[in-house]
Amino acid sequence: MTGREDAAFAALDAHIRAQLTMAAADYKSHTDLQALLAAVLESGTRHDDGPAATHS
Amino acid sequence: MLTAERGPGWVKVKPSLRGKIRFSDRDGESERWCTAEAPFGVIWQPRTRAKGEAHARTSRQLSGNGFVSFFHERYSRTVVLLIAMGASRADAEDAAQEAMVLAWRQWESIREPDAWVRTVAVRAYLKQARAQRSQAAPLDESAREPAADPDLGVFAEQQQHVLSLLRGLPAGQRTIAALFYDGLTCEEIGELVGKPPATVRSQLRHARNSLKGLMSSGGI
Repeated sequence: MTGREDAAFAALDAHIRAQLTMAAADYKSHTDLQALLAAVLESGTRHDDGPAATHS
Repeated sequence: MLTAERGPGWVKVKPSLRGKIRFSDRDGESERWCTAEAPFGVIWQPRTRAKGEAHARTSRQLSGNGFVSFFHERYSRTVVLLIAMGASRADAEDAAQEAMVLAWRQWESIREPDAWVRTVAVRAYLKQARAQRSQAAPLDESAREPAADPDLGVFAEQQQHVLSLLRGLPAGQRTIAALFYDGLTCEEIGELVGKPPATVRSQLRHARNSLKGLMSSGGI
């Protein structure tokens, strides 16, 4: 990606990034993230060793 | 999930955090979940665990290590990224949640959680999409269509429009553009999708030209 090319698309990129950021904020405001977080933590911990273990 | 389990060997403690809190059983063989929303505003923990120890542990696990704030920051962005790639809202949520569960299990060993979760979620979605395609019909990757019913009602009109434009791109361009607008470089995208950076740059150029044309014609 050349700098000239990036400059040509700068307005487009900024617009799309801004809309996607707002979409994430919209989604966040319409979603019970606290309940989802609880489900994620519970599901992750149901696995036998939990987050304290370090394996990748 | 336990909300108010108690009995011999369990004692009341004041909740130091809101939400779900993890404790070990006395024998250390399993984990239990309690909630600060339990009756009387208390949570329950094994009698053998000192208050200070429990407080330090829960604080470290749920606040100090940053997973909660990371989840709140990254989960929504991951869902939006996958929807932009063509996923239905339900499929995007499945893949994002799967990635978050795996991240939580390995949280202490993950050095770059943003990149880690993005990679796991994207691969989970692509794998799921491939499986769905192979069940329906053996289609070429280039013919991959976005979900017909993406359920985008949660987004404002202008954001739906941008998501629809991204989702309307050819499959390869769509994935690359979505990852680019999520903040990846062409090199990082190439590594994630298994394409040379030059190919990524070329497809991104086509995608941007298409998007620019569509937005110009739409008066944006």
